[in-house]
Amino acid sequence: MTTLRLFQLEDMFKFNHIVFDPLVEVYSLPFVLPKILQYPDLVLAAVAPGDRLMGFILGTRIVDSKEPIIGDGKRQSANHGHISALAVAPEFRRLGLGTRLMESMRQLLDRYRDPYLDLFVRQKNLSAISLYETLGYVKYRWLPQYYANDHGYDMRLPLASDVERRSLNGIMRNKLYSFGNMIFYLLMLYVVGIRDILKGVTL
Amino acid sequence: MAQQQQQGMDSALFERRLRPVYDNLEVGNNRKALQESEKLLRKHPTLLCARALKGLSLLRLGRYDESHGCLQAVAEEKPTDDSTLQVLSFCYREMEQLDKIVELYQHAVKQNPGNEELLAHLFISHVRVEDYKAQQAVALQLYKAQPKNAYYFWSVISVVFQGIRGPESALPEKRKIYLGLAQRMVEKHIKEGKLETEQEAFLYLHILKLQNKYQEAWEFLTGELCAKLYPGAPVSMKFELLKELGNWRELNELLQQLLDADRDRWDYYKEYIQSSFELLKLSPKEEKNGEKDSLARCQEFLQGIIESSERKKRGPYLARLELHQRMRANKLPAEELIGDFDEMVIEYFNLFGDKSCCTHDIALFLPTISMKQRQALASKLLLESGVSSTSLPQNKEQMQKHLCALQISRMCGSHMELPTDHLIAFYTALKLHYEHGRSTFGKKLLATEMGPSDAYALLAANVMYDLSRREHKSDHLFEALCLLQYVLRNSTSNFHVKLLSLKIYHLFGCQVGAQEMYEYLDIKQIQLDSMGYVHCQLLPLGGRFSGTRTVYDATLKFFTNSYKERLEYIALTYRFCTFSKMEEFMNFKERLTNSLQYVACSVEAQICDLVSCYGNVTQNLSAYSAMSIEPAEDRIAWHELSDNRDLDAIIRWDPLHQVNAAEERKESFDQEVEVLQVRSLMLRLFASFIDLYHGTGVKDVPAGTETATLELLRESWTGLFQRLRLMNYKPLPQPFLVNLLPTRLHLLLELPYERFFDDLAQLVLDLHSGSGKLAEQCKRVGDNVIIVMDVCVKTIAECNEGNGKDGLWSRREQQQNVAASLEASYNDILSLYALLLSVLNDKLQVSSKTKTKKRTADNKENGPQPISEKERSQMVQELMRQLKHKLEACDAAIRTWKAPVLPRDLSSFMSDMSLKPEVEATLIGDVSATFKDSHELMVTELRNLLKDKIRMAAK
Repeated sequence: MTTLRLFQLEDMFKFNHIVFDPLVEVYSLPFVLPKILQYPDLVLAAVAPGDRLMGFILGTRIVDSKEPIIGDGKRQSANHGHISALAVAPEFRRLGLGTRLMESMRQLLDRYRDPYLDLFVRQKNLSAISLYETLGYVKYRWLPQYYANDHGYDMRLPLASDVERRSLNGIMRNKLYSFGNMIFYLLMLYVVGIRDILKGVTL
Repeated sequence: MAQQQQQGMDSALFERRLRPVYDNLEVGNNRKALQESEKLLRKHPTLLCARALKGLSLLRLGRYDESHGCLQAVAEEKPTDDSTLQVLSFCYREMEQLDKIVELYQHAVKQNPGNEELLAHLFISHVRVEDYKAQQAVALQLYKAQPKNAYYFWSVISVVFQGIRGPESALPEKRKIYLGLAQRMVEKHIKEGKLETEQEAFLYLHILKLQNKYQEAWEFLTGELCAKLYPGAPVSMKFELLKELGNWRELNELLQQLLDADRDRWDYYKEYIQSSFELLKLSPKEEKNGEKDSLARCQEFLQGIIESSERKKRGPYLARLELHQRMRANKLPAEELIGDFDEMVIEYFNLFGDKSCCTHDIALFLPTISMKQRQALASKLLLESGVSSTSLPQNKEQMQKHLCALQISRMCGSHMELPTDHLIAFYTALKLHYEHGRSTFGKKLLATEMGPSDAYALLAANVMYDLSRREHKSDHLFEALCLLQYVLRNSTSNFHVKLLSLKIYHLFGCQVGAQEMYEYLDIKQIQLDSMGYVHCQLLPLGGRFSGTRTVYDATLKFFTNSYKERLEYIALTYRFCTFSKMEEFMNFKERLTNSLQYVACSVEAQICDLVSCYGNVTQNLSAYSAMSIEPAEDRIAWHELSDNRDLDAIIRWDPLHQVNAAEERKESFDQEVEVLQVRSLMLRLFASFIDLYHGTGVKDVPAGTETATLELLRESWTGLFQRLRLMNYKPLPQPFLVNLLPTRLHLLLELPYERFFDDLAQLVLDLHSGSGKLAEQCKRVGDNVIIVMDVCVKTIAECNEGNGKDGLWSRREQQQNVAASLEASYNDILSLYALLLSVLNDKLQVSSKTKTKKRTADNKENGPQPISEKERSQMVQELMRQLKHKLEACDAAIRTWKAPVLPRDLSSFMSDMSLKPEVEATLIGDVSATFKDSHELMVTELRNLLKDKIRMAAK
């Protein structure tokens, strides 16, 4: 039971019960305001009866190239959709709200004829990853140390205008690259770790 | 002119030469940037951009006078090249001299008429100062120079703002003219077939709605053009218009269609039910003709949705309850049409009780039923949950249901009437349920998840507060704190637990614990505004000045950054042409810049700095002048202060009939504003004392009026207290744990603040004029010091005595006198006093040596012989001696201040839980240690502070 509406700036004074969750990023105003001000229709809030905020989704569009791509005679946008945040208050979980917000976002970006939607997620955030996967998102890249305390994934969902799912091209290459990256990361951890231990001994 | 041409030719070259200056500025290496720009100017002394950059470097280095001269000189050359203009406007933005940017671009445009780039900058510079009329003119020039739609609509929105926000918007006829003009402007564009974007269509609809032209708006919204341009127009816009037009039948049908497609939309249901009621009003006689009335049709529709849905959704069930509720409110036969209310709630509970939002949902419908029915319903739900006093939940779902039923019964007031021993038993049961749930269902908890049974412990903490309050004893609440700390070890991310612990620590005056929880909450960015109230308002009472300052710094940093950036976002909305967000953003910006939290933190931070001054007189004075307090000028926009606190962040289940959140918010906000009045006035008054002797501004004032500001402020000071006493504010009651803590207002009224500063003002005046009553006034001030000291010593004694009985509760009871007043306020008073005396002394000693003759000669003419400077100096020294003596006594008293004695019988309070004894021991030990640390730290800080002041007084 939800009211879906555009996210209003005033909501930021009332969303603490949502953003206190450790997996929700509290963005700085310089990060979040330009997004809301440029694409206000891509930032949605879900509100419970009684006007308590249940959750919100912060979507935006990212310019990939200045020229629109014209392929197969059909116009396709040169931007892609990006989800900067999806958050649902703990007390309103398990109601399918995340899915609802994500689906609304997909529909909105289909209207812009963007080829794909992407998002970054913490590797630790297992429930979110599984939600995105059921919605058709694919892990596109592994992002080592993307977060201060965690690795991340870049996940992508090809949209209706990307019939041939070209936006997923290169996923194999990315996997190999990520694998290399992971090996390198582990190696570094090993080396740095050893060094730290040695330092400890000498001290 | 020739030079400018030359500049144009070599621009690439200069660009390269200027690069190092830019680079250094970017990384904050301002000194190097200054050197680089000077080096460049030696070769090209007329290069404007380099001069501007030199001005910027000076500004960044804090050499304001030089910077100002440098920038002024550049501006007088009326530059037209983009880079110089950019640098200059950046500097002016930094200095908040926004009108200078307007001038700058006006000159530039005059020299290059029709230059799109420059005109756009001029437009934005008008936007920054909110000059809508000028905006309109520039936008039209822009459109003429470059016929882009964006520019045309910039002028349209500027006209709209003149009508709704500008200085003339208060006049209805003006408003009408402007909005009418805006409408015609857009219509002309539509006729020419030039409307292009979603936001333009939105703006047209908005203009029509502002003029209540709903029919025209409806026609446009449902027309072809709008469908093409604005396919994403929110459907709620249609509801809104249909409602305004009173077209309830169409609205009703539209909503039925929408609900058929999407069955879980509360906004649809709400409007649907309302439209059904409106239809009933229109045709009440349908029933008699054998037709069903609109409510019956509504009920049938909802029932239909319920029966045909395979996956149960909350929507139609809640809608049915809402219909029931509204029918009862209108005295219509709800039972007859829909059925028994209790049964419907129970059905809802059985279907959705395992979701944590169920409590919230059911609570929506409780206020409309009687207390008796509420409590009966609550017992039914408890029964329905299948968990009795002797059994435990079998699975997670049942546990959630049980929790929901318990929360509802608290909301219905069932707990409030239980006798004490029942409540204690209830608490024990909650504790056991928590532990059982944790060990059974919470085993594989991720660090980022809340424990499934945490809510039991939260409820338990609330119950324990009720008990503590009933018995005026702290044991229960202390136990609750230990329990919460235990929960926090198991589920580290439960912010409700942190918020409640923070609250309890503050109740007990334990600042170290509170600070720990505050840091643990990791409050950041805009949360610093909306959540800061849980901590910041209480800090000045804590007596820990250094820690307090750190918290304020973090908060103020957020605010000053947003304040600086605020105008650039408005410029952004114009660049993006998002007309739908402009007003919203301006309101948001105003709320942020007028936040009470912001203003209060800045005043408290300044007081905090003054109180903890510790250097010699010169150092203290330079610290003081760096704060640039202007006593004569009240910089606070009192009527626009905004309450941005998020009071709903903490979850609560307190009895609905005893909670009036809106009233509590208002009362506490009003009192906080009064506290701010007192504090800011105190600061200004104090500043006027110092300025009288060391001010820079005083010299410009004609002789004889130097004391005008001081006298005026002193009048406001006594006037303010008079008004506050008349207002007769009541301390905020604390019926429940989640309620807001009382404000400091009553503390400020009870302590001798008013008299102390009033007498001090007289003393300063007498000292200044050398009045014959000086000796008398010295005595009065001296007496005040004695009074303050006595209260201070007495409260410590009382506190130590109270320790024998109940260390914590009495601490809370006497919070105003002990943890609070003595630590901070008295020290405020005394520290400020010490600072003032040292300043006075310094000044008088100097003048008594050098100017005595001259001064007395001057003053001879006006009436009686004033007391000589030398005598005055002696009197001040006498006061300082007394102060030193008293401060030493205070120090001695604080040395005897004992740490609070914690409740004794706690050692086994968790024995009935499956805790290992060592876990329990460390838990209680940790909490107790926090209290002890907090006390010791406070005593140390206070004594350090006193030591500084004694040193100050001893000079």
